[in-house]
Amino acid sequence: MDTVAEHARAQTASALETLHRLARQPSVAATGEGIGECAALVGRVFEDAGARVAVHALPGAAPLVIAEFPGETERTLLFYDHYDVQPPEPLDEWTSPPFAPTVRDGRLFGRGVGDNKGDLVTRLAAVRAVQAARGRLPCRVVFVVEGEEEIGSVHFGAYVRRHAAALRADGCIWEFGQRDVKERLQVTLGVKGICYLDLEIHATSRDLHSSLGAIVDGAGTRMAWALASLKDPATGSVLVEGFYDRVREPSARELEAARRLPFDEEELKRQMGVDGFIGGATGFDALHRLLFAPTCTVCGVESGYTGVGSKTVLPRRARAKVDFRLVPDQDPEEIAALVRDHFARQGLEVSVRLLGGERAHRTDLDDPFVALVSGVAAEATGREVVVLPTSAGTGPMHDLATVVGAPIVSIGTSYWGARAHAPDEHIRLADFEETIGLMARLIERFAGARLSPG
Amino acid sequence: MESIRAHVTAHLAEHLALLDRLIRHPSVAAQGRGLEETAAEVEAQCREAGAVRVERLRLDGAPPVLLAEFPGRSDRTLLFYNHYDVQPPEPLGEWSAPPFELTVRDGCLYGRGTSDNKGDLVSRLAALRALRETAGGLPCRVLFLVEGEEEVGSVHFGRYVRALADRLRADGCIWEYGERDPHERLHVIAGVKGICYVELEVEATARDLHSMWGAVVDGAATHLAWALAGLRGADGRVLIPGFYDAVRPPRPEALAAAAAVPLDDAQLRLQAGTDRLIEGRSGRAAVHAYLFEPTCTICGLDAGYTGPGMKTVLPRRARAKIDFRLVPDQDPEEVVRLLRAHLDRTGLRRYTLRFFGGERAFQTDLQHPFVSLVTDAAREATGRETVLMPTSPGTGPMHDLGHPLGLPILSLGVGYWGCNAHAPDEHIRLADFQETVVMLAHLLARFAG
Repeated sequence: MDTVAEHARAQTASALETLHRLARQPSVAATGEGIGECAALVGRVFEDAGARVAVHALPGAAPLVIAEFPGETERTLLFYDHYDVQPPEPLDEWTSPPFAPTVRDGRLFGRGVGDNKGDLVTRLAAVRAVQAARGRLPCRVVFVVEGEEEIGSVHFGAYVRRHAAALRADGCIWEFGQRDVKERLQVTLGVKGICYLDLEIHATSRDLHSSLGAIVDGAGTRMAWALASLKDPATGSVLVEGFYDRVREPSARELEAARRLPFDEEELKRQMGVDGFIGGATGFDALHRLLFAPTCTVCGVESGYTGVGSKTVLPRRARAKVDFRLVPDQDPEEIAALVRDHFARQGLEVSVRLLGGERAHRTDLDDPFVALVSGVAAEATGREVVVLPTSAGTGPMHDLATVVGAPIVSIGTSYWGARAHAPDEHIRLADFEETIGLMARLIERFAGARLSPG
Repeated sequence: MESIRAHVTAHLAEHLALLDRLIRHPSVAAQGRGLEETAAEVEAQCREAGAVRVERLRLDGAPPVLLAEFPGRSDRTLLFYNHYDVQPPEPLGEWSAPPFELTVRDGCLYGRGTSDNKGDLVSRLAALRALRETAGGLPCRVLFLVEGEEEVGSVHFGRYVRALADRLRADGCIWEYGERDPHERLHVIAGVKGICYVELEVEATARDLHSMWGAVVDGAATHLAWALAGLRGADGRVLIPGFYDAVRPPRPEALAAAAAVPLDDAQLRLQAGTDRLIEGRSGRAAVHAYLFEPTCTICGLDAGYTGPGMKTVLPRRARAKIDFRLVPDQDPEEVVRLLRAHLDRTGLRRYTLRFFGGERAFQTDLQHPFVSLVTDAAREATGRETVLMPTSPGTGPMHDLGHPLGLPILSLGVGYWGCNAHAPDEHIRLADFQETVVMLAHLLARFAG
C-alpha cells in the first residue's frame, strides 16, 4: 500500500472494532451513567494509538480528554468530539438494545454510534492511516474530547480556559457532519446556542381530590398556561418580552450561502411526519428559520397521574423542560432571566432553573480553512459539497473559538436518516469508511495549506 | 344507644381486623388489580354480618357488583351504597405507611381505602352486627349495594342498577361517605356533581426528533399545552363553546341550604393547602363555585423526557388526563362532543380523545322527610352540629340509582376534613369510626319507626 487513501481503507475494520468498544460503554451525561468509565476508555484508546494523553478533571464535571499526536511541523489541527451520549429512552422503541452495537443491512445501530463516538473513531483512524502511510504526521494533531456535550457542555468553557495552551491550533474540525437526502456532503460553519430550562410549579402543599378544581388551579393547569404563553401558535414567535432584542441578523454573505443551499422541504416534511412548518413557512422562509431563527421547544412535561386509566387528582406539582435554541448574540443567562420575568408578569409562580447554556457561533465564510476543508471533502468523497453558514443544532463552539481563535468547521460521518437523539440511532458503514479517508486526506493537506487570509 | 356504644368498644379489634382484610386487597380499579378477590372478601364479610342472600352479579367482564340482603323486623328498607375499589396508591414514595395494609398510629387508621370507601363499608357492617347482638335483630330490612368501579367513573353501574332494579326497592338510601369539617361539624350530603373524564393524546411528528427541528416544527408537548391552555380561563370559566348550555341553576332550597353551610373560603384554603384560590372565587363565591360550578382540571400531563438533566428532544407524543366535574343537567357525552368540536375549531390535528367515563350530577329533593330524619338521627347520636350540604363537590353514580328508583339519597360516614382521600397517607380517625358505627345503628332504629 502506498497512498493514504489505501491506508485509510485498511484501517476500517479495526476502527469499527474500536467503535463497538466505545458504543458498548454507556455514557449518558444526563444521568451520569458510565461517564467516568467512558472517559478512561477514550484515554486508553488514544494511548494505544501512541498519543500523549491527559485526562483532566474539574469538581462535579465529567472528565475532559486531551490527546496530542506530534507532527513534523508545529502547525496544529484540532479535533473536537464528545464521548457522552443522549439518554436511550424510550427503550421499547429500539430494534436492538441501545448499548449493544449491532450491524444490520450495512448499518451500525446503537446509542452514540452517530453522535458522536463514530466521528471520534474515524478521526483517530485517519491519524493512524497517515502515520502508516508516511511514518510520521505532517502536522500536529490534537483531540479535545468532552463528556457533557449532550447536557449543554456545562464545564467545557472552564476546561478550555484552563488548558488553553494545550489547545493552541491553526484550524479546528468540529464533531459532526452529514450527507443530506440527495447524498451531498455538508460542511457546517457554525452552531446555534442553547438555553435549556427546567420549570417547576408547586400549586398546593399536597395532591388534592380533583373536586377542589372548582376553586383551586392545579399545577397541571398552571403549567399548561405557562408553556402555552411562551410561543404564538400562529406564527411560532417566542412571546417572552426582550427575547429578540440581541438577535444579530445574518450577514449578506451568510444569506447568500443559505440561498445556495439545497432544501427539499417535501422530503423533510415526510421524514419528520408533519404536514407543514411553523407559521406556514415554506421554501427559503423555512430554511431561514431553521438556520437563523431562535426557537422554543417543550422537550418534556410531567404532572399528576400518567398511568393507566383515570385518577381524579389535582396534582400539587408539575415540571417541564424547555429548550430555546439561540442565535448570535443572544445570551442564555439573560434569556433565563427574561423567561422568569415573563412568568412573573403573568402572575404565574414558576421556578426556572438554567440546566445548560451556550452561545451561538459562526466561522467567517471567507476564511481559507473553509475552502480547504470543502475542497478536500469534495476530492476525497467525489460528493457535491454544501456549505452551511450554521447548523440548526448546538455545541460549545463559542467556548472553544474564543480561547483558540482558530476557524472551526464541522464535517463528519452521519447521514440524513441517522436518528440522532432518537431510538435506532445508526450510521452507514460505507459513510464511516468514506469519512476515515476524508479525514486522512485533510490531515495530509492541512500541513502545507495557506491558512491566513490575504 | 349505650349498649351499642359498649358493643362497638368491646368488638373494635374485630372490626379493625375486618378493615385490615379489605385494605390488604389492592383493589385499584384504574389498574384492574385485585377486584375479584376484594368482591369475594366483601361477600364473605356480608355473610358473617348476617346477610341471608348475597348476589354477586357480573356484566360484560366488568368488576362484580354485590347485592346483600339483611332481613329486619319491619318491611321498611334502607339501602346502603358503597364501593370496594380504591384510587391508585401512586406516588408511592410519599406514603409514611404501606398503602395496602392497615396501620394504626396516633389514633388514626392509615391505608388506601380507609376513608374512601372501605372504612365506611366496615362501619356499616359493624352497625348491623351491633344491632343484631344487642337487640336480637335488625329493626328494618337492609340492602347493601357494593360496586367495584366507582373510582373509574362507575362505568357499568347504571346497567347493573337496571339489571337489579326489582330487588333494589327501598325507602331511602345512605350513600358511601361523609365527613367532619375543620370545626368538627358532621356533614350530611344530598347530592353529587357529575363527571366527564377524558385522555387527550396529541401526536405531532412521526417520531421523536432532535429538538433543533423546533425551528420549523412544533412538538406534541407544545401543541398539547396550547390546547389545554384554551380550555379554561384564569377566572375558572370553561372556555369550550356550549359547555354551560345545559346547566340548570340550583333550586331555591338548595341555595338556601348552601347559604346555611358554615363553610368559608378560609376552610376551603385549609382544605386545599393553598392560600391562592381561583381569581374571583373567594368568600361566598368560593363556596358557591365549590358546590354549583362545573370544573375543568388537568389531572395528569406526560410528554418527552422528564428524567434528570437535559435531553434535547422534540417529543412526538404528549398526553393529558382531564377531569370535568358537571352540574345538573350536563351530559358527559355531550361534553365530549363539545370538547372535540372545540379542539377541531382551534386547529388541533392528529389527536385522540379517549372517554374514560361519565356520570351525571344528582341532587335529592331537600323537602323529602328522609332528609330531616337522617340529619336529626345523626345529631342525636353524635352530639355534633350537622351541616346539610345540598350537594358534594365530588362525584358518584347517584344519578344512576336515584333517578330510576326515585330514591332520596343522603351521604354520611366516617371521614373528616384531613383524611387525604385520593392522595398519599389516606386515613381516618379511630374515634370517628366508632362514632359512625353508633350513629348508623341509631339511624336504623329511627328509620324503622
